[in-house]
Amino acid sequence: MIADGAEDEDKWLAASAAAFKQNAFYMQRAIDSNNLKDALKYSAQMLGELRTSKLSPHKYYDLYMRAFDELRKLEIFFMEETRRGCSVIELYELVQHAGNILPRLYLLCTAGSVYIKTKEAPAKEILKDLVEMCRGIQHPLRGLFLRSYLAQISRDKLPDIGSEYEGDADTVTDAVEFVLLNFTEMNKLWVRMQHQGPARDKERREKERGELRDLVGKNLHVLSQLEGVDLDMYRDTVLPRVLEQIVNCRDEIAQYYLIDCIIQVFPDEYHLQTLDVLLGACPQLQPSVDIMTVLSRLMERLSNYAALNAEVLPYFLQVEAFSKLNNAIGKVIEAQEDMPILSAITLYSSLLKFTLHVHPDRLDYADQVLGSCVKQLSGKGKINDTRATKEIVSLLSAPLEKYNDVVIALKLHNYPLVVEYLDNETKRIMATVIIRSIMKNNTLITTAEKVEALLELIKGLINDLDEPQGLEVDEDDFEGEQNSVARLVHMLYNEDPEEMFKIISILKKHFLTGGPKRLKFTIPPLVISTLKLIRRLPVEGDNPFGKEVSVTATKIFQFLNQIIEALPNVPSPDLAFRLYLQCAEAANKCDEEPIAYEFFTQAYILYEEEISDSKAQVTALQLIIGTLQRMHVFGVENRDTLTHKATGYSAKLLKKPDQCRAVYACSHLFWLEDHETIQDGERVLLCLKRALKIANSTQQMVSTGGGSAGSVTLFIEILNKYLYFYQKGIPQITVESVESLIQLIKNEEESMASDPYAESLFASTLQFMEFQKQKGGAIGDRYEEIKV
Amino acid sequence: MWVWFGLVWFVNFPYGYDETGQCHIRRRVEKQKKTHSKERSSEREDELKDLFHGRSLRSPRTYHKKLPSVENLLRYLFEPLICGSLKMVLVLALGDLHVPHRAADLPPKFKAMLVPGKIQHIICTGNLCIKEIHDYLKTICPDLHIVRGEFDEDARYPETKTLTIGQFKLGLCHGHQVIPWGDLDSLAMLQRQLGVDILVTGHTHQFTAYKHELGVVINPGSATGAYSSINQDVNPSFVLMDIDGLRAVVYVYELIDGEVKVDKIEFKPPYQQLCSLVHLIKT
Repeated sequence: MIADGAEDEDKWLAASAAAFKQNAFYMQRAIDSNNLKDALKYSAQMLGELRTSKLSPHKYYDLYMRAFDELRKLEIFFMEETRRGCSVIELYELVQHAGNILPRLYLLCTAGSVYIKTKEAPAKEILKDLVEMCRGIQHPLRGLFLRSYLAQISRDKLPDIGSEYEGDADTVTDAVEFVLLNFTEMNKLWVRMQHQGPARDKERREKERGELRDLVGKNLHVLSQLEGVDLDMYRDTVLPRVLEQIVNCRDEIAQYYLIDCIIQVFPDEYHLQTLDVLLGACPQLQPSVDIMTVLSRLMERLSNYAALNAEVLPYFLQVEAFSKLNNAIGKVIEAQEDMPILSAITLYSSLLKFTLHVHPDRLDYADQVLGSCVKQLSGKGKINDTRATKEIVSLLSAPLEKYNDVVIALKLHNYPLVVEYLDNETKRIMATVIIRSIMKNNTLITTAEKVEALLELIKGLINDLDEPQGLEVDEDDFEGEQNSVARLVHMLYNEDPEEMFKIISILKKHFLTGGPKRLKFTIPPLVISTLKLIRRLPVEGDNPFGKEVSVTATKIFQFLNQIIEALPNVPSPDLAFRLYLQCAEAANKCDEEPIAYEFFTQAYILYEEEISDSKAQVTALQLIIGTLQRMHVFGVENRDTLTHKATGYSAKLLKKPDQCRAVYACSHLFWLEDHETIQDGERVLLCLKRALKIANSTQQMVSTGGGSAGSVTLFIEILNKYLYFYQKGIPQITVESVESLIQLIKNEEESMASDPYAESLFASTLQFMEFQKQKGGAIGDRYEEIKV
Repeated sequence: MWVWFGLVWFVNFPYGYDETGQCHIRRRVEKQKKTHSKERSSEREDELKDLFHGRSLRSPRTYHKKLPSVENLLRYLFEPLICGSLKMVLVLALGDLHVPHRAADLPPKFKAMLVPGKIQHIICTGNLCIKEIHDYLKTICPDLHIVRGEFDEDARYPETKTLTIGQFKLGLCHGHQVIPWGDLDSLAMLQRQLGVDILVTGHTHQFTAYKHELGVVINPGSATGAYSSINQDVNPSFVLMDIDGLRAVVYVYELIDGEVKVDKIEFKPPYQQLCSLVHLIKT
């Protein structure tokens, strides 16, 4: 059917075009021979083709354009005729002899245009006459095009300020009057179009109608182009009349298009000054009008205007643009009851962007917007619409992007309330956005209060939310999120120890209640943050202001103990173990012996009870020995206990080579270079001898065919340790012991031959000894004594 | 075999070292006077300047004694032969980032400097600690060598690693395994164990470069300036090694009070290589 319709239409258009062409040809011939009568006759016949009502607007437009071109020629011909002496008044009368009204009016307009040009009568009168005469056509499509023709030819002939047609009698008011009248009539025709024809075609007709909107809008464009339309004129005449027409036409398409048209064609300055009038019309529009887009565009325009011209900002304040917009939005939402939540949020989002641009210093405005938003959202429960959710995220991201400072967002009281309405998934996304913004801008959060607010804001990442069953968070995503929380901890910082302690206390409170899965990620940065705080504590007695410091190292260490305690149950014993050792070392720096001992005990317990993997044990033991070697705070008794334990652990490792290496590493526990109290050569030697014994047993296992090769390597490594202590001048490590060890290794030449690694290690060890000898001095002398 | 060692000593003895035989290089903040080797390296410096957006290098500090004539001769004669092609190789050494446990991220200034495509190898001393950082390093250079720090969970990282770049043998180890931590004599022992010319370790979060008879021990410090129980004040730092046949120049980038300071340290060619060459010629 439709295909047939289109085909028919093409046929009709072709037929009309052919007839049109023919008449145009004759008209041209008449013009060429200066035959006015024939020219009029054929032009009227030609224009008669425009009387068709079979064509769709699109095709009709095609025909209209041809007519327009031909009428141009005719107009020039009329012009020439008047110059040749034909009276223009006569001509004006003559064209009215055409038989049909449509061609008559087209010709009248053309003649009228020439009439105005000759200035034989005031433009005002002619224009008025034309616009009144055009009422004769009430068929919407034909009428629209006729009036459009009128608008087009009269465009350059309006009595505007500065125009040649301005005269005593002709003022810009008349021009405005004419355009407004034409606009009103066109709009009426346009709106009426929808009622023409059968109801089943309504959809198609509305689409076609949409195509014609520019014809109507053109009038507004002409108005905006008039020099004479200044702010006063606009405010007093143009805007009220146009709005009146828009509101009264009660048509959805027309209202949406024309309001938008007003916003787009007139200058921003005018909008700013007439904001209340414009906004006042909004709630009166049909409920189905997409007012959201219109208002968003208006706000967008205004914020761009403000962004580009800083000097207009005072006007914004003067006209209270924000509160007007805010009220208008409230009213619109009220008026349109069934407005989807998405539109409401979009409106607020645009308003927020507007106020952020125009009034960056007025945080209360932004907060007010969020507040209104909360009001809208309240009672609606969690938002399920994905687009609405997206819009909320964009709404919430706007202040972060604008200020690049999350601290500002924390000042907005309604901010977290809006977050509340998001679903869990989006809450987490929002939290990540916030954290990313902090990271990107390197924002330090410096007070406990703000930290509290921030944690409230990113609750989605810190606590388990009541997740519906079966909705498991992706493991990788979870890790990524938690790592970002961990990074965030480093941005929460205050120079003042007391405030900092408050901050970490808040963190502890939140983290410990955040569910076991998260502790592994959140506890380590908190511990490190706390250890950093300990370093900043004023040294006791060094308190020039006499200010009582409530935060003491002891208190903080207790705090640390509490937070690390949570870890082994998670279970992350490895991590807890390492953190205990870090704390022990910090306690060592603070000369807190009992505390350091306590931390070490905890670490030992974890080592004994939780760390069972042999490889993990080796590493753990390395850390124990390494840390213990650095501790100088312990008294003899405590130290003995701890070192004794460590050596014990070393000898109990699973693999012999590991045992051997751990035991010779233990030798360092008894000789601290800088602490004369901890220099026990006897026990150093004991350790080394024990290591030798283990290496020896490894060798026996090799010789019986079990175990792995490499006992020689162990011997050489021990030799290196011997040399290390020998060089330090420990009396118990004698030349003889070194020499005999070298001899022992040399005896193993056989097995060394099969072990290139041992061979090269031995070679470089000998080379090292030779170098040391070369150095001379005390060390050189000592090495000189060794006879290889 | 023993003859071989004898040769090694023979070649090395005549050109001894300063009294201590080693020097422990640390950054000096005060300005240094330009001394020497400027011309020779100016071209390379230009390249490096270009690499890091025109940030100028500070005056070079060279711990490079004037080469003995025999060595010079050897260099001239055999360098092309040894090196094959004298291609410049940039090696980034860094470690102990401790993200997110101890630091939020690398300093933005460092991130801006570390652009992809300029660096041929990355050696990392461990403690990254998360995969994100691993991935980030991969973007700078896909040839990534990592050893395991005590806070790394990824069990695939080995405890130690050796690799050969140019004529240098490089060893990599986090360093918590070497007790006492950061002790240079003990690190030298590890170096003997690994049999490498350049040993790169971490753990102390303090940049050090230490030269002794058998090579160099470098600690690039902590790239994020992470908290350390060993050192009180940690500045973020990393090391860039320019390895060019027989020559290795170490550039240290350190972030001090928000400014990136660059130090340059040049190292002698590895003797073992030269010596084995002599050995080759003689036999």
